[in-house]
Order: sequence, then structure tokens, then C-alpha cells
Amino acid sequence: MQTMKWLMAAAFVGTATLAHAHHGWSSYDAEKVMRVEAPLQEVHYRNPHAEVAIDYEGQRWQVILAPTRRMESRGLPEGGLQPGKTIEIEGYPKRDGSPEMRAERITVDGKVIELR
Amino acid sequence: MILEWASALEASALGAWMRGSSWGYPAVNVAHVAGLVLLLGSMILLDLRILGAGRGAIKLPAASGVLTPFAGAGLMLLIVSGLLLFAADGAPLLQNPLFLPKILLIALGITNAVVFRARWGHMADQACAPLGARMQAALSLAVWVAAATLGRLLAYV
Repeated sequence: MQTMKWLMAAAFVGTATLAHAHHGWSSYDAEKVMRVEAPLQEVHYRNPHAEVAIDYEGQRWQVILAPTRRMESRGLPEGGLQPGKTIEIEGYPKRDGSPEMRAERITVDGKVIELR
Repeated sequence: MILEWASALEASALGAWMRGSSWGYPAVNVAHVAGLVLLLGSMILLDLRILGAGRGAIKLPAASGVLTPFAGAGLMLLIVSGLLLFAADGAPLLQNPLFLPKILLIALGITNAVVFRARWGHMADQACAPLGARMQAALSLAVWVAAATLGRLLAYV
């Protein structure tokens, strides 16, 4: 029975460690900060997190923002992002090289919105 | 074909509400975790009892009688909230490499539980469950913990 308890404990610790290692931000490379000012090509103001798309260096980049509730409470309601509107994005590219970044903060109409 | 069905569900009013409402997704997410706590909490206790934990203190039929309904309620809550979360994001979820393994583990866990009840449901009170029952309890522990782990990791691959 003692062995069983240790096995269970080990399984849970293992699970917790694994989950931590895979945390959402870890698949983006925070060492490579990207700052891009570009017009929005697509806007998906949605849960589990909002996404926009921009064209950057000849590629269509998906930009992951935050859950809608958080953006609303930080002063960026649904109407704040519109296709064609130019915003500033500071974020990190995906480690696997695909054209996707996770935004740390964005500047919309001169107002900085922290997304984390 | 499943992908078409997932896309249709995603395009439905339900899918749109899950994405558009600012509290819908977080609330259903909380319900999904609550269901997981109910299911895993009671299944782990029951499986450990079948494997021999507390054999001197708690009779097997008593443990099963108390814990099984909670596990069932947890599973129902998980299925309903899981379908709602799926409605928000169906097609991308289907393409997630962890999603199908997770669903197969859930199917295995449910089948294992149904077979267990058919084979050992009328087990007389005994301190030590038969070897077959203990093996199924060990499988149940592994399968449900693995399904929960894959479910959590869906957000990170």
C-alpha cells in the first residue's frame, strides 16, 4: 500500500511538472521580441482568446491576444479592433517557426493594453 | 465526416454563443473542472479501495454505493460541459494530436467501468477484491488520470 501511495504521488507530481513545462507561453520564444505596426487583416474577438491577423514580411501572421473578458476589463471592448485599423503589437513568435505570435501588449488608438 | 459535423457545430448558434459571450466560455470551463474533480475524486477513492486501501475500515459495497453516484454525476457534467467547449472550437480541436487519444481513453474508461459493474457489481463483502477486479481498478486509475492529463495539455500543443 505504501508503494501505491508513492506511485500516486509521483504520478501527480509528474503531471504537474509536465503541465507547467507546456504552459501556453512556453511555445513562444520570449527572447525574440517582435514589435510590429500593421493594419489588421482579420479580427476574431472571441473566446477562449481573441485573435487577429496581420501581414508581416510577406506572410500572414496570426496574433493571439487574450480572453475577451480580460480585454474588456482592460479597456478594449469588441468594437475596439476592426479590420483595416492599424495597431502596434509587441509579442513573441512561435518557437516552431510558424507565422504565429502571442502578444504581450498592443497599442490601440494610443492606448497600451497589457494582455498577460 | 466528423470534421464536417464539428464545423457545423462550430458554426451553430451554440458555438457562436460560446465564443462570443464574455462569461460563457470561462463558466463552462469551471463546470468542466468541477466535473473532473467529482469524477476523478470519487473514482480514485473507489479504485484505491478496490485495490485494498482502507480494507479494514470501509466495506467494499458501502464504498461503491456512496462513490459511484458521484462519479456518474461528474461524468455527466464533464460530457455536457465538454460538448459545449467543443462547440466553441470543434474543428481545431479535432486536429489537435491529443484530442482523439483523449476521447479514446474516455471511451476505454467508460467501457471498463461498465464491464466492471457487469462482472463484479454483485460482489459480496470481502476484504480483498478478486485479482480481475483489482486489475480493472488499476486500469481505471491509469486511464482516468491519463485522460485528465491529456485534456489539460490540449491547450498547450
